[in-house]
Amino acid sequence: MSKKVVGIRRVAYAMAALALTVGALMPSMFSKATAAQLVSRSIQMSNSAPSATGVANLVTFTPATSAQSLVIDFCGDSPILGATCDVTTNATTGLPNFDASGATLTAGSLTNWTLTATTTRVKLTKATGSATGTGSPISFTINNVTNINVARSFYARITTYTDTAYGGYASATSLGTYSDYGGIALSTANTISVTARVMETLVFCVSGSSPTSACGGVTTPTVTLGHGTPAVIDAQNVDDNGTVTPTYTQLSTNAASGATVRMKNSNACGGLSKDGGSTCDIAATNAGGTAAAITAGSAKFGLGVGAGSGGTGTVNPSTEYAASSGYGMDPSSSTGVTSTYGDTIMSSSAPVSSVNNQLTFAATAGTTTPAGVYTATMTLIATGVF
Amino acid sequence: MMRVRFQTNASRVISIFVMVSLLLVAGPFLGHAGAGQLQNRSVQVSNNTPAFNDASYHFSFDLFTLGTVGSIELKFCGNSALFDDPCDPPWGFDASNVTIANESGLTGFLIGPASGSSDVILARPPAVAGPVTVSFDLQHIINPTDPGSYYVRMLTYPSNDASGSPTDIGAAALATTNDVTVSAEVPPYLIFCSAAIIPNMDCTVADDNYVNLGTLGSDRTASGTTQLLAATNADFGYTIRTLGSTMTSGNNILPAMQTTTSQVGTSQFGINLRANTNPVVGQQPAGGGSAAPAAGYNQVNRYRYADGEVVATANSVQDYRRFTVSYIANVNKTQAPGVYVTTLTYLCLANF
Repeated sequence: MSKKVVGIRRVAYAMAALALTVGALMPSMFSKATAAQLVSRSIQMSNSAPSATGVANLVTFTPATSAQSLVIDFCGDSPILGATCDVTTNATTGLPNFDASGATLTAGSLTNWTLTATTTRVKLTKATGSATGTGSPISFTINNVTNINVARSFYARITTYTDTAYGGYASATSLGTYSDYGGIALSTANTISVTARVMETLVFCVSGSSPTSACGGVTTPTVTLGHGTPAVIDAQNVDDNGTVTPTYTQLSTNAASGATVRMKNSNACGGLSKDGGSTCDIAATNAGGTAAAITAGSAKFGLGVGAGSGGTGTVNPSTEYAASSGYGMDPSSSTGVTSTYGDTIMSSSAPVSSVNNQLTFAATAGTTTPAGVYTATMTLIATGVF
Repeated sequence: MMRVRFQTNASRVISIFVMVSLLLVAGPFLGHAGAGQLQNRSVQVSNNTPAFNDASYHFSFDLFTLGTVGSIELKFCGNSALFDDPCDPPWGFDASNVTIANESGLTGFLIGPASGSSDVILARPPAVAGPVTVSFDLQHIINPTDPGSYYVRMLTYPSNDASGSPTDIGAAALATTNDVTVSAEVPPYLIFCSAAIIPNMDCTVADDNYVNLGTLGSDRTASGTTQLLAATNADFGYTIRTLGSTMTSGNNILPAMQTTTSQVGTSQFGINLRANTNPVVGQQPAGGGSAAPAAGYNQVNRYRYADGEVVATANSVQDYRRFTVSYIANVNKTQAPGVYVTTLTYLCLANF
């Protein structure tokens, strides 16, 4: 019986001795029995793409002990302090392509600290600066790091020291006498490519009613000038289609340099004709560079372009056709309404969307204007400069 | 050995599958990756009426890449300007008969034999070109049938047949739209009046219609005037006739003159439309227009009268023109006494 008790006691003593031994040895394994874990620790990567270069890593943690130096080891296999740290090019456990050797420091909370770096390790010491505080977060940025070239997790181990000599640190598995510690997991991930295509657009319409957005509600324009029933023009009046048969254009384009709207007259003579354009007894009113009023009885025909309205952007009438000044109609065969590509009547200098401009045609007869029905077919052409 | 062969075959299959997959994915981008973008691209159309069958398209763009240019491809699409989209030709668009003109920046292009109805290839002997502004006209194009937007994709190639990878690319959007027909009617008009006097070329203030030649005598010429005012927009002008007899008093008459001069002491009656000196009577025609007295009534100091004759004519549209009609009467010593009168009616007919 007593032998049994003695035996049990021996086992108990042996267990107690082992526990004490282990307890005594642990601090020596981690170098400091009073080491505390860094709290609120994180590393924000500016770019998590595999192989990304020039990556900035914002390191944040709250020290428990004032430190004068610290070490960050990057490991491919584990964040656990003192464990093996695989820094080989092994794709699953190492740090393939990782490179912190060119790292630089943006001090943040560590003013006047200096940084030295190797491929997988960064060491900071206070140099001429101050030791860290305690209980409050500090942060600093390690710049110019190259990420591992595979998409997976890797790790950083942080140890802080109360001296400027890294507490005798030798390697990731021989940490010296550190004060605080902490592991952080990081991860690279494939980037998401977002592609959006915007193609060149030009939407232009001419309408007998004011178009709604995107050339909605368009009607075929037919302009009849004159007064009375049936409508006629004479030498005593200048008749326009402003309210009787209004006409509008609407322009939308994403052309970077905007767009121009040009007008061509089907009549080679540039005005109103009753013989298909051979002669224009109601001639084009050539304002000579600036739109002007038409005098009753002058047998002239012109167009006034109103200021742009609605939509987004600005479409301005050309000086020669600005309705605010009157009417214009350049019959020149080189640059006017009878030229190959017509005369510019309005333009924008930037992209526009659903901007309406009213077209006001006007004419008057002369006392010697031959009787008849006069017509002109006006073609309006929009051109974007992309 | 069998296992090795299987692995080898499997590897080939996988490799081919991967290659085909890559080709399918990259297909839309093939040949375009790395191409520069043509700058300041614009396409002016001479007529954007839908289905217009002889339009000219003026292209202008800046080359982006310094390199060899042997051809330019212009691909017209109705659905999209994007190069990686399929290109559906605009409905009705046809550039089969296209010609090139007014080349600038790069010259020497001809229409390539591989051109189609909506795909124009401009070819030339390949030559190095800098980043210049290129412009040219394509003529004899039939516009798309329907109003709306359509697109042209522009590509430059080092080759002279648009083969291989393009050097620069760029697109532009165009739009067809309906024309505006402007019409105005000028109604026909004829303004005509006769009176003793018509001030200010204004019929509304014409005054009196009676001419009193006074007492006729063999020793003097009696004279008087009336006026006519006419205007018309008739294309072929007008004619003015006089209707009525010579002066009569019962059965006694003053013989009508036949474009002769006034003869004192000779019984005669006549008129003309000129300013005369013998006797001093009348005025020259006045006002706008080109209407003139008829030949028999258009000689100074010569007078004439015939019932129904044309006294003035115009052969085109006429502004307001006033004629002064001079009347003279002479009598001989044996002319029967009496009150000689005539009622003359002037008739103006416009010739539209």
